[in-house]
Amino acid sequence: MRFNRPFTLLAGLAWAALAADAAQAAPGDTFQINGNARVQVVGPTQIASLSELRFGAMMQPVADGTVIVAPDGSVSGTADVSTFPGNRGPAHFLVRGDRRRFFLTRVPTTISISNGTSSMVVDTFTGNFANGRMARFDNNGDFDLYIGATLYATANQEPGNYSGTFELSIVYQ
Amino acid sequence: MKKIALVAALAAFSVPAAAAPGDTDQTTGTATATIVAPISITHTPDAALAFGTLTAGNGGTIAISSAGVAGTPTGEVKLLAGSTVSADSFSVAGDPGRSYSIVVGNGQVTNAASNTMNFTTSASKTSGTLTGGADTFSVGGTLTVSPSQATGSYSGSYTATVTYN
Repeated sequence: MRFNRPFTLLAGLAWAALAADAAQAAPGDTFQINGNARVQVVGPTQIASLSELRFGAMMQPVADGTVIVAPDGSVSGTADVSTFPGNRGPAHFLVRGDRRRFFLTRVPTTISISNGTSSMVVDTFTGNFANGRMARFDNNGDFDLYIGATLYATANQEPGNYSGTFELSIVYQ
Repeated sequence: MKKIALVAALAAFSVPAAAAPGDTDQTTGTATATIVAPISITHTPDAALAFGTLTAGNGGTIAISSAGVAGTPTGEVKLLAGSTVSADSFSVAGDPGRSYSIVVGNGQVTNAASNTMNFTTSASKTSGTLTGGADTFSVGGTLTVSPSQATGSYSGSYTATVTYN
């Protein structure tokens, strides 16, 4: 539908221009010719955030440890991930663009999440794209992008609710 | 040719927001995690599950509710008037707002001559919520007195366990 509407508009404009031009060039005469009009409308990308990157809850660690959330939702790492097993998962974005077109995803190398007084490092961002962070919109121009990462908790990490943000960029190819 | 050129120009001006290679779009994601403070339980100083002062007769039971009220003894057990009975009490601390479960065990009391009586326990609730990071609960129980139970002052202990849900 996105392609049809601009094209219909252009066809109408073209017909009006031809008629006016013909009338001006040869009054009282009739002269008609068909021209070809082609256009490709490339939609802008849209990124909708559907869920956060959730490392869940863990008991205050007695030693340094990691929590790794993969793009497919699997969880691993050396920190306590069994006491509170739920509420972990990758960030989910719905990316919209041109159907079947390739795009590149950019995520930060590392970020910090904080509870206001203490912080933890998050790095090794991973996504459900193939090689070199490249992905491709499907036949509807959609791509469900899942982003995982690794969280580092240190021994005696201060209790609290930690959060932080990261920038996600989509680059058209 | 002039007419076709005009159409082409109109088409060019009508293309909205074309994304060329290298164009980008950007958004902000959020990452979250929670570090949970260890849960701890403290026995209220001087509190005890007190079954009072009894006569055994041919045996029976005496129950103290988790509110600290004595029930009617069974069998030939008699609770002496003026006896002090009470429920035990505990305080719990941990992650604010998080729920937890309570398990209390049974126990045995012993006198100086190593005579024993068994008791069961019953907490005021089986789970709680650490509103503001703290909560309390109390424990009652039922003591079983054997026929001709030896006289004496008996004491013992039992375990209370709290676990995050």
